[in-house]
Amino acid sequence: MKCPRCVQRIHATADQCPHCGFSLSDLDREFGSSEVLLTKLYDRAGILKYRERRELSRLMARFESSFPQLFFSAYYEALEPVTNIRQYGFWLLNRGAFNDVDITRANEGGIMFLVDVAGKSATISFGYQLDDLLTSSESFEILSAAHPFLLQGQYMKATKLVLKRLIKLLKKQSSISSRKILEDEKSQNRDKVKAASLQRIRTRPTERGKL
Amino acid sequence: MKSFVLVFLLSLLALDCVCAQVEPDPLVPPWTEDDLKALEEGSLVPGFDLLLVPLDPSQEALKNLLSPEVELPEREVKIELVPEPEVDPTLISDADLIRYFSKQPKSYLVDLQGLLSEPERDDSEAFLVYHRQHSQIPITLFLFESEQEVPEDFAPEIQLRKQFDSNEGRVLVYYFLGDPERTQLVMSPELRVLISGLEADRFLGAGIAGALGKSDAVDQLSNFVVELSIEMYLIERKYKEETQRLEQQVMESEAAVPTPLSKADELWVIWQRVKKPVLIGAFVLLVGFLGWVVRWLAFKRRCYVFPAVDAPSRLGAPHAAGVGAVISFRSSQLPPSRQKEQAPDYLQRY
Repeated sequence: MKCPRCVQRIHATADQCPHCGFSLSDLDREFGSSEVLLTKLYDRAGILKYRERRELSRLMARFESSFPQLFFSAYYEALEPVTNIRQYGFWLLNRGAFNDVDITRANEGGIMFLVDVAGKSATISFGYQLDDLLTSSESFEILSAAHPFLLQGQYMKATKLVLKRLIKLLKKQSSISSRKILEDEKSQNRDKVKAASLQRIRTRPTERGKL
Repeated sequence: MKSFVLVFLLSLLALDCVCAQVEPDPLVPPWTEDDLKALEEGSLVPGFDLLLVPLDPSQEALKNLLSPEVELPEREVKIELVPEPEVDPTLISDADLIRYFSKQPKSYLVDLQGLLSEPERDDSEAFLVYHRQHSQIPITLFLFESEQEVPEDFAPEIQLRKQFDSNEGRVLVYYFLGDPERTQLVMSPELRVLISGLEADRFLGAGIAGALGKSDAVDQLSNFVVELSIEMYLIERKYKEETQRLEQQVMESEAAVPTPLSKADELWVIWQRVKKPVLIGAFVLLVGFLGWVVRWLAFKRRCYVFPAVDAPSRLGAPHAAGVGAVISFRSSQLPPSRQKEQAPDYLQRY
């Protein structure tokens, strides 16, 4: 876990960064604490064409059908020079109210791909549900793959690639976690069976005694 | 005066000769005019009386004839042998040469010197005609005497070229009646192409051998012609069989080499060859594709779920605190790793 401001490692339950004292309230003071109405695909910079937006929307819907607990969001804006994109993404995912996301999907399952068109930088922010699924290095690899398209200004292709890589990663994580769950279940079942047999063994001498 | 005497004596001599000529023979009865007439009419047959009338010994003439006392006058019969002019047996007269070789003969047997009698000529001619009716190669035979020499200018090769059509298969023979071994035989160029020299020699040899089997010259000629015809028949049969065999081979090779097919036919033939593997491959591909489609449809609807995470809030954020990498795409010269913003400016060391 890293602090959005100083990018130092912090504890998973820290209320504020022990290094720089950062917390969400700092960003609320800067950007506001009320909810921000958003859509999953928010092209504030106007960089996508209508056809591209439609296609991206379709891809996002497909993502949601494959991952019922998650949703993907793409945000394009020309941020102010002083705005830190990492912090902005952190604040947006917490304060954003996506009106086109099903209510059963909380922001904890959200993945936001944020592109600062003016500052020419991009980042990925994600909810608590993906803490164990997505790491900083993995997000860097995903962004690096999209880097050439970002350089050429092909934001549509960059977003598609990010989405594609995310899907691949999440499917892999899903199979790993499914195996883990199965193993856990198996071990739990084994424990239960063991406990039941032990119980039976303990009760038998008493019966023998009775006999 | 002397001349007059000479003329007188000569006339007397002539008169004597004439008188002597008309002097009747005492033993032969003289002819009368009536006898001559009857003879001409046919009513008088000399000697017929001798046959009808019995011999009467009392007849004087007969008595005289039969009498041994009668002396028949002796006559001197002078036989003067006139020697025949010497003729070179090897020469053919110019007239005959012209008749032989001036134009194309009309018959297959050319006997312009009349060496054969008419029946003999007809027989040989008939056989040569019969041969022509059953063969595609006529035989023309020029007949010469046994010792005659045909001049080089009229050699059979030259005559064959001059008198006959060079495109037609023909055999020309110079036969020397009585000497079959001198026979000369030539074949037309068309035949020479087909018949080897060895075969031609054998052909002539068979005729000569057949001829030598007889002693009579005419029989030799007949045998020669027959043997020649038989040999020609055998040669024709042999080449006919050879031709049929070659034609069969050509037909087989033509059958093996297919005639050029049209584009559609070529494609059809190719399709017939590759039909089976193509259909099997297409079926396998189709099944594979359908299986992939089914799998894709199944996987398309597949959902991926994750275990529920009861993560505590962090930094006062109710929903999300996951911070990924930040990447800059300002410079196309630097790689993404060099444009990775991980630490804020105030925390970076310079």
